Amino acid sequence: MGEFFGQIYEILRMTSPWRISLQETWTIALLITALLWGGGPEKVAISVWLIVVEFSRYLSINTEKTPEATLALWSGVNWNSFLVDGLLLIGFVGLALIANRRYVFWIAGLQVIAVMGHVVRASTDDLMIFVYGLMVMGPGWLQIFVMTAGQIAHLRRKRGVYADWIWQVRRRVAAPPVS
Amino acid sequence: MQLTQRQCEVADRLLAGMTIAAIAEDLNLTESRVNQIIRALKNRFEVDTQAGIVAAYQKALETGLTHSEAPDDQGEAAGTGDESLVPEVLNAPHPILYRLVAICVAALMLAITFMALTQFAVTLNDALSANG
Repeated sequence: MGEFFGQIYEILRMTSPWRISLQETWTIALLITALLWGGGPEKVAISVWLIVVEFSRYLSINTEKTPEATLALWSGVNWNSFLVDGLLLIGFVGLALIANRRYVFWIAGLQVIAVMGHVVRASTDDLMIFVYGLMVMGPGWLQIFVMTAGQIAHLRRKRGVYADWIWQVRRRVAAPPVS
Repeated sequence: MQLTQRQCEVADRLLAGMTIAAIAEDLNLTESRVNQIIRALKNRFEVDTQAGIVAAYQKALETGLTHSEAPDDQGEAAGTGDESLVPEVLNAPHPILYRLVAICVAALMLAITFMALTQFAVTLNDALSANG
């Protein structure tokens, strides 16, 4: 099992530079499409992601370059990453509580998994570094996929029919008598 | 099918054979506002003519049309409608509670999927290594 995870780690390490560039390009493209054609939840979802993640990159969190530094960063609880994931959790759960969209529940659920990775790492030393890193970093990519799917679904829907937010959804009552 | 109360009022009057000017006077609206509501009704019923609205509205009434509680067209003015994309239970009467449960269920389903995929990959890897 250790050999298997070692091979995966090596692949991830080798592809690290272009993965970050791809992620940045993809999320900025999502922001542009959300601003041009997206509804409120689409704009908020990608904005929350970009503000928190780009701010963390600006602060040089999780940008250790050498394998030794990366190993040291993830050998215990990565508190900087924990903070970023906690902020994302607040943003995405808050969005899921008020948005009239289904995909936001999956985004919030993925963020719960990322935060749980930190919690499990803090409570036990048995969690392998690779698994910890995968639990924390993996959901980010899936969130981008889900946001992309959500935007495509929004573009395919008929305009002016569906509400953006929970308070715009009207409760159904019996039809009035027709005069 | 759900219409705003104003859309229902206009559709009722079209059904009664009233003209746009008469509807506007009856509802104390401008004719351009009535035309705007008629355009919304055409979009909602996916028809091109007023006769199409009348036919579709009659059919909708027979199949259980409902209308929204709010009398205005706030949703249209904001550029959005009022239809729900999520199950009704997530909108009322306790949306926060049920939505938190939905998030937890989604997280649990994802975690189970991740674990199953990881276990499958490790097992496959071990099997291939043993054979190779």
